[in-house]
Amino acid sequence: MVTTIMGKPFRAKELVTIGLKSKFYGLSEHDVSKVCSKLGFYPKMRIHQLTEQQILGITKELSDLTIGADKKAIIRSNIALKRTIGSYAGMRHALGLPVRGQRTKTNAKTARRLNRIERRGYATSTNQYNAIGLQESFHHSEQGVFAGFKNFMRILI
Amino acid sequence: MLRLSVVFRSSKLFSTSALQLAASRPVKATAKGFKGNVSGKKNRKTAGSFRFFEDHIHYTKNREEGTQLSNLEFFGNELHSNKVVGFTEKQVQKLVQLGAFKKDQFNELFKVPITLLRNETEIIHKFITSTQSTPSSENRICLLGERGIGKTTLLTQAQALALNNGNTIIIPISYALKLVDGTNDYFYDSKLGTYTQPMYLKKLLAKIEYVNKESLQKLSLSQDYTIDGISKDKASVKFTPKHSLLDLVKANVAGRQRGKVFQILINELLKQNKSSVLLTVDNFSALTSNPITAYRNIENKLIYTEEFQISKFIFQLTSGEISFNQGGVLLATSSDDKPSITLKHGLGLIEADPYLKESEFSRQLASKLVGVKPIEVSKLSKENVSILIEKYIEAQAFNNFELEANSKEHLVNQKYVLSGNGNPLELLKSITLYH
Amino acid sequence: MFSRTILRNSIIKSQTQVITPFPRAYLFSIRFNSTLPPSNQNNSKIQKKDELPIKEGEEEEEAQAWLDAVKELRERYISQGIPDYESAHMKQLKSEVFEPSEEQLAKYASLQDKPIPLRNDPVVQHCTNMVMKDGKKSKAQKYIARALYIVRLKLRQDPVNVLKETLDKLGPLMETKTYKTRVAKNLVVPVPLNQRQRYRRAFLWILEGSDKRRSKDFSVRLGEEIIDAYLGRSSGYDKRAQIHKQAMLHRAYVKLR
Repeated sequence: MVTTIMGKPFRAKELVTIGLKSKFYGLSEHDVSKVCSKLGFYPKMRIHQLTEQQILGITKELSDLTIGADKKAIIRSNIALKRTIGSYAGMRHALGLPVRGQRTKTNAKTARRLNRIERRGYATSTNQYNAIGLQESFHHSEQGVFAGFKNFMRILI
Repeated sequence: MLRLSVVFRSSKLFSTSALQLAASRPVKATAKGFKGNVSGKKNRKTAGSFRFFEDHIHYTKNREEGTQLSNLEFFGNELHSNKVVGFTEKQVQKLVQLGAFKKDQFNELFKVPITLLRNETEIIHKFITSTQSTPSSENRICLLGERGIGKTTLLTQAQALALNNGNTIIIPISYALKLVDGTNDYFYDSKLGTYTQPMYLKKLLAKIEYVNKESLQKLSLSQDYTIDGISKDKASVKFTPKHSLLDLVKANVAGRQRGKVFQILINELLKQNKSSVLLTVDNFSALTSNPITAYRNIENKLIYTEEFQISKFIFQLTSGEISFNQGGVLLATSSDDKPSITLKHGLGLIEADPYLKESEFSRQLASKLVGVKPIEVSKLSKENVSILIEKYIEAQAFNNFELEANSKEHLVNQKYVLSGNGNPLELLKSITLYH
Repeated sequence: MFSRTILRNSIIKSQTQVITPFPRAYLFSIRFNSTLPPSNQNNSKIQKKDELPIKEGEEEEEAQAWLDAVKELRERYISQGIPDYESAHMKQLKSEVFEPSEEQLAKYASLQDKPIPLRNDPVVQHCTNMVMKDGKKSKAQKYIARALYIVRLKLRQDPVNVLKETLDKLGPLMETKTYKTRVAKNLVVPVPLNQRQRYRRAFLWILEGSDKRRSKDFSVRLGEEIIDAYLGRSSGYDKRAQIHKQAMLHRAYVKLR
């Protein structure tokens, strides 16, 4: 069974707190805790136990918060501002490198994945989704003698 | 199930030209069918039980094929020390409802669950006898001891003794952690001034009804009560002095009103003096170890253990603030909970450091335990071990090669050492899980 | 052997007692400062330091015992001279010759036909080692013990016997081995298996079968599979038949010497 809250699908067995936190970008654990205690949900409540009214309640509470695309827009505008004023942080974002002085010889995987001027950001679960997507793209990459070259071309096109 | 998967450009391969790439146009998205398992192998595991070990041996009907011990006496009022007795079928039915038999007790070896009468049994027996005549404020004891020493088993014996009496109403809290760990729903009942837990109360009231049917039937209500209906489906329920307490407990009321029903039940039990009332709490240390519960109020602030109706009731009884005319409080701690200074300070076993934090030590809760008599459950003696081993040999719990290689005396000595000089749980493990 | 060492020790002890005239308690009491009997004053100082729970009366008795012992020694040394510690009984000690008493001999005879009890059954131990991963033996032992407990509950028999019987039933008698001949084709030769090899193959099939079960708990899966294999329902029997069939096909290549 799947319950839909604000356009996102939830498994019936999922804990409300964990489900909400993982599905919405920019929704912190503390935010979820606040919403749940305001609506009177107990800590170990699960999605299938929610009534229609309670789901509406969640929708109402969440619509007051800046989450999802709005939150992303704010973050992106902040980065864009840093870029336009020519700050170091803005440059690092544009280069796709770590912003806060981390090493780049190794690691820096997250920064390379996410840092752009149009910074990419995921909620926890959608992150997983894309991780699988990425893996698939490798899975279906070319094979054979010129595989390296072909893959290189594929990325350039 | 179709799912769009977008092939993202992997920028990590081209870190030096990331800036240039970021500006170039994105890769064409490709739509592919998504399969859950890419490798194509899907193991459908259907055969066999789906349970974990503890549940598997507890829930599969092993007890029916268990050994019927010869010369097994039943748990009655004759309690000679150092003797193994079995529970009667009637006792078992009620004790199961009381949540007395736990999963790790290896009861499934026998047709009838057995129990060892030991020195502490006499203390428990005296306690139950005195609950028949003296108020509950005079009968407050707490069982302490290491893991597997037999605290829960002694609690079970107390419950069985109370059931034998026939005139005792048992209020069983079989696993106190459930009151504080956030697994039950809750709301603030403004009329009672406490938080109530409807889902937990439903089970508790059902248990009280099942176990104490006869005793509750004899008691009638002292005044009129009206319990409001919450919606069209549930009309308001009225109670008059013609009704017995059993009718009250059985009444089908809305979840939001269950707190009130429980409160009425307690108030009526406090007034009457026909039957004695015994409160048993297993895993009591969960309450003292968690003075701050997992729940939060509407403003997302902490809720303390005492603000809940049932926990408050338990602490009122342990402190002697309220007292049944005849009755007692029997608490059993659990080693699953983190060791709590609150409990030991409250029982007067240690002196708490005055500079401890609130999360480490709750002075308020400790003050509610003053006057509760701590009973340290002792280890089994060699005679106890010997008599238990006899029964387990009869139940064929030993390996043949073990029996062939050792004389009985040798076996007793061996197992006594393996059990850490007489810890019952370790003894059973050394018998049943030794190959 | 065990009883022998004990006996020897006891004899050594009894002899040391003869040599040293001190009361036996002093052999075990630990004194670092000196071997001389400490005076009362000295003793009280030590007591304060270590907080030994010695009462005053006991203390005096102790001191008296020391004094008596010294007195006895002195008398003996005066009358008999200083003893030669390299003398006869010391040599006897070194040569390790001892005469067991009749009682000891009788006990030795009575224990002769009884086997030394094993801690674990060797077959169970073999299976445990097959279950073990990364050298975590106690974990493997837990799994096996729990699985066998489930077998006991279901069948109400000694599970070790059940396991042995199952492995005996399930284990293949022959196996084919391929030898490379350098000329034309490979030789496929049936080879008989010994007991340990048979048990190993059988138990690996049981483990394979247990993987297809539903429980997330390995011990439950294993226990159920052992029960099924005992009742003749395991897929391992097909494998066994297959192997036997192949061995029969290549029976012409068996070398009989």
